[in-house]
Amino acid sequence: MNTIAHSSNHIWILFGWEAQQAAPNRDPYTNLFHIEPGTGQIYTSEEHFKHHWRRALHEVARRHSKLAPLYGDKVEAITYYRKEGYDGEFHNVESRRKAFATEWALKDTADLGAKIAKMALDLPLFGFVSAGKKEKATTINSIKPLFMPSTFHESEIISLGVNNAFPSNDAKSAGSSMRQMLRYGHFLSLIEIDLRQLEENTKNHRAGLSVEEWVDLALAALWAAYTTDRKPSVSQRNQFATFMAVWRPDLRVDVPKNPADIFGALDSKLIRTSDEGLAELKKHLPAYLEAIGGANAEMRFCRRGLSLK
Amino acid sequence: MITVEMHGGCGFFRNPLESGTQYSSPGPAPSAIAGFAGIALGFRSQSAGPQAGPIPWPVAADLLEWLRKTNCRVAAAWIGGSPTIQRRSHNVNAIKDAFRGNPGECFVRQEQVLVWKPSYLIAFDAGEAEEELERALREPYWRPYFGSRNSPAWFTAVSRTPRAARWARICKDPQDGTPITQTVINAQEAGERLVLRDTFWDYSVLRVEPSLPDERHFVAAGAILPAKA
Repeated sequence: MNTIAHSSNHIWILFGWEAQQAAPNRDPYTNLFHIEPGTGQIYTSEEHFKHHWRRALHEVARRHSKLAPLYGDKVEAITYYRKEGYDGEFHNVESRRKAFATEWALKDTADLGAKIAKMALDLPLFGFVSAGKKEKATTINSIKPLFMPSTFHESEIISLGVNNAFPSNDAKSAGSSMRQMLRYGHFLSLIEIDLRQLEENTKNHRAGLSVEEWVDLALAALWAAYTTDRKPSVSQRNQFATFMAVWRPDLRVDVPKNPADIFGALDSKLIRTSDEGLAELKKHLPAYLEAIGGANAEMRFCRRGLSLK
Repeated sequence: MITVEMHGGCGFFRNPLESGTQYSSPGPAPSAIAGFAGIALGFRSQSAGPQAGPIPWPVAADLLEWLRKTNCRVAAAWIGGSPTIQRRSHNVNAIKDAFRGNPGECFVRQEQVLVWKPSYLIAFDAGEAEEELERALREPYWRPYFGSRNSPAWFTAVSRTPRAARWARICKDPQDGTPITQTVINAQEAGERLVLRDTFWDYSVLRVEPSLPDERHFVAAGAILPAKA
């Protein structure tokens, strides 16, 4: 389906993924899951979700047929926002900017922020807040989740006591800690792409892609983030995408409805296994999509036999 | 008068009185509501716009001009599912493009307290511009948001018929208030971008009976002043 040839200026994406014995996202101060009081649903921050999306964008670009000639030899200067570099070191603003200037062989670093906005692949999609006094490089995001990604059901949290690999100096202590994980969570995220904003952001971008190609790149990266390019850490690796539905909403009539609200329709609120989760999603997904104008959505990617009808 | 409902998953209305704070004000200020009109009408964002004359920072020049011409006034009411505005702590690891602070840091832990599941009723009194504004609210050019760009919102129920609601009241000492500010146009002399009017919108009006919006509730949306240096 050609998702661009349409009068609407927006694309909506409903993306689902499963987490099993994983810990997708925790509050950085309390280390606790984000739990919806009263329902036991688990949600993640938008920052966490986009972090994985950017990570995969970096990898997808390096093997993209059109982008590989330009980005394939770059190490750091593909996406801008990363906490650490591929050298394993934490990066600060200066080192990120320097990496771009070096890898793109920029002789003139005046207005560097504006130049980075036209080289980095994540900035036209997720935005850029340029804090430089003299730079005018701020870019408004063109892709955003309309709600924080959330499980559509109550999730059980399991606590595991573990012994660390190296005990503490105190010989009596084995260096134990308590680790919390989700037994099972099927997350749903309703995401919007603003095509007008994307077109504006990608004008004169070095990638040289059409708006349609940018959309395809973004969707491929999101899928890769939860399939081929999952983060290998203990808390992240057991998360797998299940489906991605894409359509053009008629915003004169379609109002976003939080996919987390599928909770209300469930007979059994607590879901503990993948088979249970997929069975419930198969039952309720078509009605949810119908309610938000996605009855004719295209199933762009699918695993595990989910259907939109 | 035009009224419109606005809904979203969360809202983050920064308080200019507390620079650096991450505790959201209870609802949008009149200047933020001016921004809602600007978004609907398709004016460019403040941060993406050019400098307008002597003002040394980016401004939404088209919006300022529209506000000057229309003398638009606004009112707001909380209409969320809970009787009082609910806030929720939502701390994140974020990456800031900060040029201050320790050179080794580019990511920060942000403590944030957001308005949760916000819903507001907004009234616009924009005179002859109301027909254009009504069309724009029905089909907004850009996606509106509640303060932060991570807090998308949407317009519904656009109407020319005012509704009774617990409209936010102008006061000096609110229980839970949003500071009211105005944009300064002679910033080079004044040295300030915003003027605080020492007034607030009090959104916590549980004991007030619902009423139609009137002079007690309307504030000029981002009215522009020359400020004294």
